[in-house]
Amino acid sequence: MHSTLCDDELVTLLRAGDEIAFVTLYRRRQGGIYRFALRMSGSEAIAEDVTQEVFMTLMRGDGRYDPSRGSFSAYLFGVARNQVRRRLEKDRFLSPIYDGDEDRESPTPESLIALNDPLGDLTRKETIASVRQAVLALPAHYREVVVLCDLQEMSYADASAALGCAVGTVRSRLHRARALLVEKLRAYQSAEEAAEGAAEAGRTSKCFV
Amino acid sequence: MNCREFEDIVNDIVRAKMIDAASRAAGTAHAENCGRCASRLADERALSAGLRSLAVSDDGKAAPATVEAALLEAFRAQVSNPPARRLPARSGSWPRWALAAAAAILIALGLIVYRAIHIEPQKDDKALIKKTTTRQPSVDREQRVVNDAVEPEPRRGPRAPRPRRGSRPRLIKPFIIDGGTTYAKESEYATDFFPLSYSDDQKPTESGEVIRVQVIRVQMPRPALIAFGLPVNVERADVPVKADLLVGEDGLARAIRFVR
Repeated sequence: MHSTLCDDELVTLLRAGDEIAFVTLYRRRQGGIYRFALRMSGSEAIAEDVTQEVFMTLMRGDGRYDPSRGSFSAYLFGVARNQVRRRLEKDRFLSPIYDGDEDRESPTPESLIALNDPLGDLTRKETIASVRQAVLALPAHYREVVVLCDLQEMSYADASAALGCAVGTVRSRLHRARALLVEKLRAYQSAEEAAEGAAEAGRTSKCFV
Repeated sequence: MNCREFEDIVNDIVRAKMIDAASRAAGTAHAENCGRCASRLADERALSAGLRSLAVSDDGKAAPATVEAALLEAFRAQVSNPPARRLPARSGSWPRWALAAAAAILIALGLIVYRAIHIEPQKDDKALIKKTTTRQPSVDREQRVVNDAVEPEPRRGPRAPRPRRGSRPRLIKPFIIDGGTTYAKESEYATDFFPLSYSDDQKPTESGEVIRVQVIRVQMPRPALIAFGLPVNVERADVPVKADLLVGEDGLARAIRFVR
């Protein structure tokens, strides 16, 4: 029965101490929050901590959710964003390292993998790794709009509610962030091509020897 | 449409977001006739494809079941006991093992010193102290007696600025015992000695008895400061902190002070 209720109704029940409402909300929203924190930090440990802290905040009623200021989802992402920023600030001397293993990632849709095309699969994985690296290398205020709008497919309005800024600011940040991503990916591509060229040159010189 | 107007809408074109049909058509038409904007559009499309692949690759990721279990436990605790109870931070705070490790290091150091004293006593590094008649003499006071015995006029430097928090011990300039390397230098600041007691059966000493003590400079993990109620600078958590151990003849560390 609870699964048919909307977020706002579940929040009301949660405040009255309804455990099933809390579990339903958690299961409905935790994936998005976890992935947001993971994409923002590149760390599974931080993503777990942030997810836990976001729902603890909800449970405690800190920074109470106000439907008139935005959707419940936007509220949760706003809390998550603050938690991630706090953690990154605290760990700012540690390099963000993606501690997941690409090979044991979630099942990838078959449509994106040609099973009899290992080279294509490799290229796809390299592309994903490059894009992930480029996103993690963005400044935080650009990274969060890319993660929310492009990776989480959130609307500009919801993103602006989550980030606490105007829709126009979200748009302009996203525009700049994407331009930076293109630059970074071009740079990675140039570096890879240079490395491949050097390797090829090495092989050729060995042939002559 | 010119290049500048195209730049304004290029994201909306490739992100398949709400954009009016006329603007989309105008933008596409402009890109067909402008090499630079065509290249820009191609880059944006490639980026969107890359971002989509990244999003899809992360699709199944979710918090582990342990997070839900911990939250549920906290929720039940809160419902049965309204004041919210915070979950312990999973990381980022000082764990108990760090404190236990600090205590273990202290005990190990004590044992090492005990062996060193009994195998090869070095009188130069030891000092005689007279036990006081105070029921529970503070180690700092004992140390001053040592100082008196070795150096008639102990020098004490000016006090450091008052710390902000009341629980923080005052930092004082150390007195010099014999100029040996095992003691705090004049340029260093040290806390008062914190007595270390391992058991309750350490009884007050009788007046007139003389025991030998030794001060040994050691380095300790910074989290050890927490055990003595001292604040820890999280940013320097990996940098060891210097400390002076006051070790008795029985090899037990009697007191510790931190030096900077």
